Amino acid sequence: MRTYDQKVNREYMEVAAKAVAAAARSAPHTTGSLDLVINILSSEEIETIQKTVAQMFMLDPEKAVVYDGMLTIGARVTHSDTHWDCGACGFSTCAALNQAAKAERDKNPSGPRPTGPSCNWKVLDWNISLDYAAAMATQLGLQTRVQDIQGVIALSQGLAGDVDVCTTVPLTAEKRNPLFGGRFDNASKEELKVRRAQAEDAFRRIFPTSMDLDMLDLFVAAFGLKLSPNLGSISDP
Amino acid sequence: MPIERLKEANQHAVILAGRLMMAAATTAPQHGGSGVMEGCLVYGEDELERIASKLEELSLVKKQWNESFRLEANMVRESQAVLFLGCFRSYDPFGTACGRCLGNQGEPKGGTKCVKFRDTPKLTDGPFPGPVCTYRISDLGYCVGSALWIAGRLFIDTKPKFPVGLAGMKLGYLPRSKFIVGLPLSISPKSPFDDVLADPRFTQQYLMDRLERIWPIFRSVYGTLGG
Repeated sequence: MRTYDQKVNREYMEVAAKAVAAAARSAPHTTGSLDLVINILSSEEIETIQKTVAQMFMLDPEKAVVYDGMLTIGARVTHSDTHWDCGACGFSTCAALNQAAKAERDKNPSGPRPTGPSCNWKVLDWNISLDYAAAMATQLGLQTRVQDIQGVIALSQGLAGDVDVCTTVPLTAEKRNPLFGGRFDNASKEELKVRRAQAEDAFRRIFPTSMDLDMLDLFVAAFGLKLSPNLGSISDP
Repeated sequence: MPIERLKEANQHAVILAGRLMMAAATTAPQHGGSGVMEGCLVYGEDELERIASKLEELSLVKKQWNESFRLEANMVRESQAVLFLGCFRSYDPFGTACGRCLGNQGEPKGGTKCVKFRDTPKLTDGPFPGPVCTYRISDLGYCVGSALWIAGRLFIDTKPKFPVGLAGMKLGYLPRSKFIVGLPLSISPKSPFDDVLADPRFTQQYLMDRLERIWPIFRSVYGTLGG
């Protein structure tokens, strides 16, 4: 007899992560020539990422939730070899897209890979793979949530491989889903107020000119209120 | 007592599967929780023939489309239904300034990359009127993935297709969408999307025609020989 404890859970996560990665690899694609790079992270790597996220959002890094397992699913999307010339990227031919992407890379060859311009069909395929990964995780009885911010951090820390875009798929076997955090937290009202202000500050720092926030400001301003100092950055930048 | 035979039952099943796929696509995770997907299920022989002939018409537009689009037309003719999933928020940028659409070349002196994207003139002569917001296309990818997953669980043959989506766009099934993926659904012993012949002329219909043509000659020759 074996009790299902942390050790057994970790063993299962190792198997489950492989199944999730296999599902992502075997997903049907439109282009059929996508370069997917799937990495299974160790718990130390997950901890590094989660602590960086906590610092970003001005939360206590010691209290950062370390998931049982995490995968990074990245893809190289800034090159098109389909020769469809579909125009969805904004360039009339695939060759023009490749040329523009190469010019973008040549601007800063030693720096991080640019995220665009990218082939929309490759992006679609990458996301089909991500959806298959999340669906497989659900079928295996795990909690999951596709996370972009963690993906960007993994990319910048070199955990995702040589890819343009990356997203992480965390895996947990908790009853309380830590991925939709805050909803189950018993914080006092004052604490929530402070936390909300911190989160808003952090959000502005990460997305300083987010259009959605500006739209919210315009909406709020219509009622005679003022939320953020960067109101009107769309009209007069 | 009413009886439903295999062919009729499959015809109903493919429509049910298409509806379930649309439901799964609607509940797929999407950035910001805002829905971006609209869908349309097309079935019936006449309607599918319309899509197939549109594909054949489009095959003449570009040289590199010629063969593949005619093969797609054959696949649509062998399918029982086509599901179109489109992104109707493709011109509405998500607002994270990710730079996946135009790269940093749009890094502006004023305004974000998303503002730059919004101000970029859209293509008028291309098949798709790009550029479209790549972040929104990511959301559509999740929707298409969920639809494909459900089809896979139900053992219904399907594949996401660019040419079929383009034909659906030209026929105006989803007028709000600027980026459409087509998913032909087929219930048959052999999936029409695998092991495709390289020559688009060779279809099952073509071979049956040839057989019909030579069969009376074959019969009379063998009858004369006493076979």
